[in-house]
Order: sequence, then C-alpha cells, then structure tokens
Amino acid sequence: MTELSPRLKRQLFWRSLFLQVFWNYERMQGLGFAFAIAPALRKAHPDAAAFHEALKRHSGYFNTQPYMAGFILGVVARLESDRHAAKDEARITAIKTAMASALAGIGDALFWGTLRPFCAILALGVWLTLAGAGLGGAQAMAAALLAYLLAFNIPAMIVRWQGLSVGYAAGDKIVDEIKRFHWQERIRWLRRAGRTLAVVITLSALVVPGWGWDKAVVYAAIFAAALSLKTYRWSAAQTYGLFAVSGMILSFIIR
Amino acid sequence: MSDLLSWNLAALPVLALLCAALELDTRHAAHLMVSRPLVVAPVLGWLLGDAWTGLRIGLALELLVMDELPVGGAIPINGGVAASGAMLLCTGPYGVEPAAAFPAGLALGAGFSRTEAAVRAAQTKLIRKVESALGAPGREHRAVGRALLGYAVMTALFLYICVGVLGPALGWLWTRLPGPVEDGVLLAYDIAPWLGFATAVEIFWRK
Repeated sequence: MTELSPRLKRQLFWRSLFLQVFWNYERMQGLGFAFAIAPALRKAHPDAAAFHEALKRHSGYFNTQPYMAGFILGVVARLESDRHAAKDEARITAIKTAMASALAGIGDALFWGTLRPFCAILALGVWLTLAGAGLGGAQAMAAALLAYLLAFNIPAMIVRWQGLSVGYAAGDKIVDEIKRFHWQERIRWLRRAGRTLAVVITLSALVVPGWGWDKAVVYAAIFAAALSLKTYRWSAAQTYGLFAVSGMILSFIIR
Repeated sequence: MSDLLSWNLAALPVLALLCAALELDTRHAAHLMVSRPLVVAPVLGWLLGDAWTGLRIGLALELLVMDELPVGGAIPINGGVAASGAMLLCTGPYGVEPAAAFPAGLALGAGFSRTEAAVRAAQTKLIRKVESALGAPGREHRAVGRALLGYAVMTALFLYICVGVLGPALGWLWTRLPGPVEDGVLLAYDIAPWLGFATAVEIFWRK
C-alpha cells in the first residue's frame, strides 16, 4: 500500500500546522512532530503499548523547516506502517534526522530566504502599479495584500499537502524523489526574478514620483550607502540607527 | 480623559489580543504570513482609521526585516510585534508621531524576541508534562490549546504594557526633543523605505 488514505492525510496535514507549538531548546520541534505523526502511529500500531513506545521515539530531538515537514511525516508514516521497516527503529530515526537537516536547508533558502522576500517585493510592485494607474488607495492596498498572501501561501500549501503523499509513496527512497523537484534551479530562478523586480521597483521609486534631481540623487546615495552596509551584514535596527544619528549630527552642524 | 480611559480599558486590550492572535502565526501555528508587518500594520491602520500610515509603516518594516530569518533556533526581530507596537502607538489617543513610533516598534520587536527566547526556555521545563499528554485524545489537544493561549496572552500583555507605558512617554518626549534629534528621527523615518529597498536588493544578490 503506497497511498496515504485521504483521512490520514487530512489529519497529518492539520496537525503539521502545529509543528512548532511546543518548540523548546532541548528537542526543538520534537514534541510537535510527535503530535503531528500520532494519527499515523495509532493506525500502524493498534496495540496501545506499541503506540506509546513509537510516540516516545518520535518525541525526541527534531528540527526542520515547517513547510518541508510534510515529506518527513509522509516517510515516517509509511515506514511505521510497513511491518518489516518498522522493526528497524534506529533506521527510521536515522532517515528522519537526515531528512530533517537536508530539507531544512532547502526550505530555509526557498521559503524564508527567497519566496517571502519575493512576495513582499511583488506586493509592493502590485501596489505601486495599481496606485499609479489611479486605483483608489484602499483598493490598491487590498490587492497588494491579497497578492502577497496568495503568492506565498499557494506554493507553501502545495508543498505541505503534496509533501505528505510524496513522502508516503517514496518511503525510504525519498532522497531520489526529492531530487526530482530541482529545488536549487527553482530558488535560482526565483532569485533572478526577485532581483529584477527589486531593481525595477527601486529605480521606479527614484524616477517616477518626480522628486527632482537633487532629491533623487540624495535618495540614490542613501540607497547605495545602505546597500554597502547590508553587504557587511548590518541589521535593520543598526542601519536605521546609524542614519538617525547621522541625521542628528548633520542637523546639528547645519543649525 | 474619557477617551484615554476607554482606550486603555477597552480598545487597547482588544487590539492587543487581536495582534497576539495574529502573532501566533509567526512561530507557533500555520505560518500563513498573516503576522508579517506588511499585513498587520495596514489591517490595524484600517481598523483604527489610518490605513495610509499602516501601509507606510508596514511596507517599510517588511522591507527592513525581510532578511531576518528564523533559521535553526535563531529568533530574529519580531516584525509582527514591531508593526503592531508602532501602529498602536501612533494611531491611539496618544497619537505618537509615526517617526517616533516606528523606531519604538522596531525596539519592541527586538525586545519581544528576547521574551520569545524566555518562553522557549520555559517550555523546556514542560517537556515531561507535554509528553505525558501526547497520544491521549483530548489531553493532547488541550495541551496545544494551552500552549497557544499562554503565548497569546503573554504577547497581548507585552503589547498592552509596552504601548501603555511608551504611548504617554513618547508623546511627552517628542515635544521636548532638541531640534537636531527630532530632525534625525524624522530623516530616518523618511528614508526608511530606501533602507528597505537596499535590504530587498541585497537579499536577492546573496549567494
């Protein structure tokens, strides 16, 4: 049986939304993972003692990117339901831990490091375009927020939902299956698109509002200075603080 | 006076709870991005009758903190709390100048991430209790509910106290600031979107 039953899939999906609810420094998402996988373990181990023993095994240390957890939940559900595989508990734990690290790297880069900033820039682009086209402020704002939420959540939800089926169908062959998604190419493509969009929006913000050349040059210089600080890993608060203090000094000198 | 009283006793607690409920999305549940500054600030601005300031603050904060990633056990500046704090400060009856509310919001976001670290440390002590509840239908859902409720109440209290204290303090301070200091704060707020654009461009260039 290589297909996850719809009921179990819904249960795993719903519970996976609370993966981080018990996050702590000792086991990170471990307790959340045990909460999420519990319906699959109950089905695989009808005997109460075996179920609790399996649950205890899965409440140990675990940490991955939340959107990628579906793949691992699917794999573990499959291995636990397979009588032969379930006997080798150490192997299940090893696969789970290895997958958690590998998928965390992909998920962090894709969702946190690329898709989320891309969606923010996209929302800004939508707002500027609609506001520039004369659409009312509230309507343009609502459209931008909707674009942001949909552009992020549709792919995130697909990965979460489909990850469960893919993981379950692949079982311990999950590594080969994961490679088929070409994550790095997708991340590279999204970064290129985000980079283009960010540059276009920045240039538009400099030119379109008609600041006048003097002000546009000042804004461009501030942008360039902030960009240089960013390459040295200055945080938002540090950069903001530096410009506030610079403004104070400048004002003190001019006055 | 009655405005202040109704704000502190009715409006602020309700708004703080609303922000806290949205804030659950950041770390604890779902991660649907409804707690991002870009969403929280305009929604609060719309509720409080100043959607434009909400959008201005939300966009600038979103761009500024977009490279703060929750990787591994790291707890970056909490953008949702920063946006909530800034909006409650500048659209409430204290009417804190947005230029002052914005950095105050950033400070609240940074301060709250320390509080989150403390919560995570406290949750470590509850491992056995949660473990015993797992697998028991009913008990495990109650454990999840308690964890979510506890975090939401803590967030709401944090916002309520900080906004309640900072609101009048910043309102009082703003009128007494020396000219150059006021100029510096206004300048930083004015150019915040440009600092944000720099973050956006840099994050896509990063290897």
